[in-house]
Amino acid sequence: MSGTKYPGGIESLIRANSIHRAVYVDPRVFALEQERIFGRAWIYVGHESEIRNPGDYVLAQLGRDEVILVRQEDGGIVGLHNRCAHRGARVLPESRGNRRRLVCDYHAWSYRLDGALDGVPLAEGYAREINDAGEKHGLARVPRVESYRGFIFASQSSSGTGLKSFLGDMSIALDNFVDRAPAASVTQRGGRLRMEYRGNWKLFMENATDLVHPGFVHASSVAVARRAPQLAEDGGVTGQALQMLLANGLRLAEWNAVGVHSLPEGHAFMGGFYRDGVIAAERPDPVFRRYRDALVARHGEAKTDAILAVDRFNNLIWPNLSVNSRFQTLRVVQPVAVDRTVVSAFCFELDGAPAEMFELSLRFLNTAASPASMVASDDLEIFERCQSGLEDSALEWIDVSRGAVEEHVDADGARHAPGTSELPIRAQFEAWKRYMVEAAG
Amino acid sequence: MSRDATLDPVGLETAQEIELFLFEEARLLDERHFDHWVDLFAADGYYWVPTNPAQDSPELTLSIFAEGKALLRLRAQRLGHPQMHVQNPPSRTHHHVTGIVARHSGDGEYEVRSLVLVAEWRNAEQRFFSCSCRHVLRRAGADLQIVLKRVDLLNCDAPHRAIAVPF
Repeated sequence: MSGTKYPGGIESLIRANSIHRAVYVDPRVFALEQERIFGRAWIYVGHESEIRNPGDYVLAQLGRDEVILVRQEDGGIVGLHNRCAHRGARVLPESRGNRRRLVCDYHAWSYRLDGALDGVPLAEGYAREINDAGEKHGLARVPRVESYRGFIFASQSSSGTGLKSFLGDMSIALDNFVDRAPAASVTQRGGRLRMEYRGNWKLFMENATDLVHPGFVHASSVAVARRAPQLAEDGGVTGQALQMLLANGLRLAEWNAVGVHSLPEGHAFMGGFYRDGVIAAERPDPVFRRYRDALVARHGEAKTDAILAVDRFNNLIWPNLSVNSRFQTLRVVQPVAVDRTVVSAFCFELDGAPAEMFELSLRFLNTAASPASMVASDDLEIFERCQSGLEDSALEWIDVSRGAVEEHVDADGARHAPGTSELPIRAQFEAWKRYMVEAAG
Repeated sequence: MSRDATLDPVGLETAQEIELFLFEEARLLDERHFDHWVDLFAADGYYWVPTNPAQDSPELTLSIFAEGKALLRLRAQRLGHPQMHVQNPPSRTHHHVTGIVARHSGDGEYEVRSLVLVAEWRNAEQRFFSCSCRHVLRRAGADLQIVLKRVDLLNCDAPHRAIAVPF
């Protein structure tokens, strides 16, 4: 794949305020994205709480490759391609577990946790260099794996920007995620939800901070929620679900006040828009009060106030991670084919917080990210309509100009705009173009 | 031996009543009488589709559906709303119900197992969901009410495209 050229040059597909439809429907563009974006950028692959002990592993998708993320004896984390160095069989068939050695079931080649070849039955029958073992014939290793506050990212490129500078100021979203835990750590829990759509992966990332769509796409769930105001009094999961449905019914002027923001690395986020009842940033209920007390015990009043005041909704870490620190959830957008995407959603327990906090986080994700969600199901439908429409070649370009005249740029390259601006989409495509055009390396 | 097998089977007359109740429930879903379907639930009734076959609660593990009657009512109303895009055009479904076994679970409630194959047609595509269902039914006057409907999808842990019509 390396060195693939797009006819006419990939940069010709991106203009300041419009995008060529090939970016969504051409399998050659998808193949290039796998090589130049998912083959190089820092991609979220898992959380440290999933692999606490030596030998604990989870399988993760890194672009087109499946990798084994495994905790080492010394506490480090290594990423290994799940492919036997002998005849290419997938080594570990289960998505998670614990192993002292990684053994292929085909001819029993055995690897250490760091991927080095450790034992080969009938070793004398193979070529001499295999007999000598060592890393050369081990499992292929992911060049870079780094954790930021427990969130593990991997890069298939051995050089390039480090994780910290790749995240830039978006590290604030991950910091706030962990800072909200009274014990200063979080634990992934509750399994995962996965939804799929027949559409390009970028459609999800573009939609996540598109604040004009909720009033139209989510009109039906807003309408039925407005008919049930009595449920708003509920301080538990029913009230939470109702408030979430209602919140999509802001007027356009109110969405503008919510605001959208982008960072020079291609990341973007929107302001918070959950203001009422059990989803308000500062809740009046006893559970939240106990939680707040635990935070104050650790941080004191001023810092606790500062932590709880961070009110952003979808924090989009380019290219494919959505972080919600206020509700302790993550969504990972996995491109499967040019017209097929799987979105996995995870929730986390705030270590040291009252147990009830976790249920609300879990149920937040249930309402937001199940394939049966009263909200997300309509988004999935629209993504599929976009994909199907973009297959039509009558119009070559789509428009992403909304709000372009209203952007404010900081000295550090951060940009801010009223909520109905398509600023985040433009910022995502600037990063996209940078990665797609640069020679792979 | 499963817990069910320790419960007493119901008599023939009750067995038939329960069987007809499940067939009627399937008809309400297939004919899109979603409000009437929700009416079958007790006030404390719960509809639950887990993501894991061994899942023992909707509180600590994510679920595809996990809703009490109030939210189910909103769901039914939404299914009648013209701007529910994911049902425009609407799905056509067949709920094929089979293998119904009902037992007494004490307190006048029944523990009912069934297998349901849901065939769904929408937008020129047909898909199938194979479901193992557990109903807890309560007698309320002349009627039966759903206290719990748990649906274990054979592929509960797969990525799913949008799901709009309940199983």
